Amino acid sequence: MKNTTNSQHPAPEEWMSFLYDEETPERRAALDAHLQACPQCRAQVQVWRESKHALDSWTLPLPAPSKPGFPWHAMRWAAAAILLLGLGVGLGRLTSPAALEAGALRRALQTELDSKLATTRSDLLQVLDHRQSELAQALRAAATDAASTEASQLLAQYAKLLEEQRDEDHESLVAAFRQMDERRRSDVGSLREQIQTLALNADDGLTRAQEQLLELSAATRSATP
Amino acid sequence: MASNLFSWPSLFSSPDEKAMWQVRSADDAQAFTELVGRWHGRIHSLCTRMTGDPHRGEDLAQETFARLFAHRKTYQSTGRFSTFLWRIALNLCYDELRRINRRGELSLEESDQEAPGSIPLESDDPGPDQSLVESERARAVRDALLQLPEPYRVVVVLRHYEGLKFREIGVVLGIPDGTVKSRMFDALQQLSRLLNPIFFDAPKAVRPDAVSRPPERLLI
Repeated sequence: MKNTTNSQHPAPEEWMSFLYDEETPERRAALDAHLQACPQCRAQVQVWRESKHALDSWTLPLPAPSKPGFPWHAMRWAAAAILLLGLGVGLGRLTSPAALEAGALRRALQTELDSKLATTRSDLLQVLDHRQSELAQALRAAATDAASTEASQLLAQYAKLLEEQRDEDHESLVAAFRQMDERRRSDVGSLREQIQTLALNADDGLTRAQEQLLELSAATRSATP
Repeated sequence: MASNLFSWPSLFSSPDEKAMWQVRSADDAQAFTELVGRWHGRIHSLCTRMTGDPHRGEDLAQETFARLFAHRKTYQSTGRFSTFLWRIALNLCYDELRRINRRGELSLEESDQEAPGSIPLESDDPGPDQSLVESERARAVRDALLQLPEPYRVVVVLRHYEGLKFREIGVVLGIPDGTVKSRMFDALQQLSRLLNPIFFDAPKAVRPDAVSRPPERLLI
């Protein structure tokens, strides 16, 4: 059936796959070789190719291009490849002789490694405790120094603020005293003027009273026999 | 439960299957719009090639998507969406062709006065003579295809114009690959007789055993 000699032509179905590039490369090469050797099939295939070419004459307006989607098919093959690779690696590790020998060696060294690890761990814990205590002392000293320095700075700032506040208060008090002194002086001046006016009025009254007394005395003396 | 798990689209399903599952399970309008956008051109092309009329092809394409939505609950995610959609479109084409035959109306006669959707208006104009030749050749191809029985025509359309593999065509039509290739062979034989005298002056000789095979009209 699939013989490609001149005496037996390939089946028409096979030529259809050949025309539309669906044959395997090997089969395609065999059919190409048959075409070279068989004029009858070569002529027939040429007729079909011309018919295919004629079919291309009926074109339709191209549809609107669709957005390319995510290549899920490629992802499918990639996932399958990763899965197969993982399975292969896992099975290889489990079944290889080297893996078995490594397992036996691991079990033999397990106890010795555990004891050495325990000793090393206790030594490391002691060193760690010592280092922790030293570190704590250093931290405390540093904290004290830092605290004193910081307190001094704060006190200096506080004193400076107090001094500034005191100067401001002093100036305010001086201004207030000056204002009060001016007001007092003004009050004393007006009081003096009032007293002088009162004194003048009183002096006039005394003069008039003296004159009236003199007039009254004279009147009394003339009336007495 | 197991059947439900198997009916769900898998992680590795194509975007079409995922979108169709959204349409089926949640009446997702956006997913349906995406499917229409991706597939309308090809379905319109298929229906136009099968009926020979671009206007009828557009009507059938719209009806295909309407029927797709109406039958969304029958979609099985274990099957390919493209197969589901091709079958809907082809069934509509067959129904339309049967109606045409019942009315005694030939599709190619109905639209014989106009170009078969082949000459884009905005194309680079090769000149009136060349355009006329191309239009005549396109019409000749369309007429030749319409003379093929539907089972042969659909194979030519799906393989040559839509680019499906013979195996995929077999899945859509529910027939073996060998039958698909056999129909393609018969179709090419008939097309050679119809077209080569027009395109290439003299008819070419073909192998006697090839042309002697009677075409069989198979129901899908």
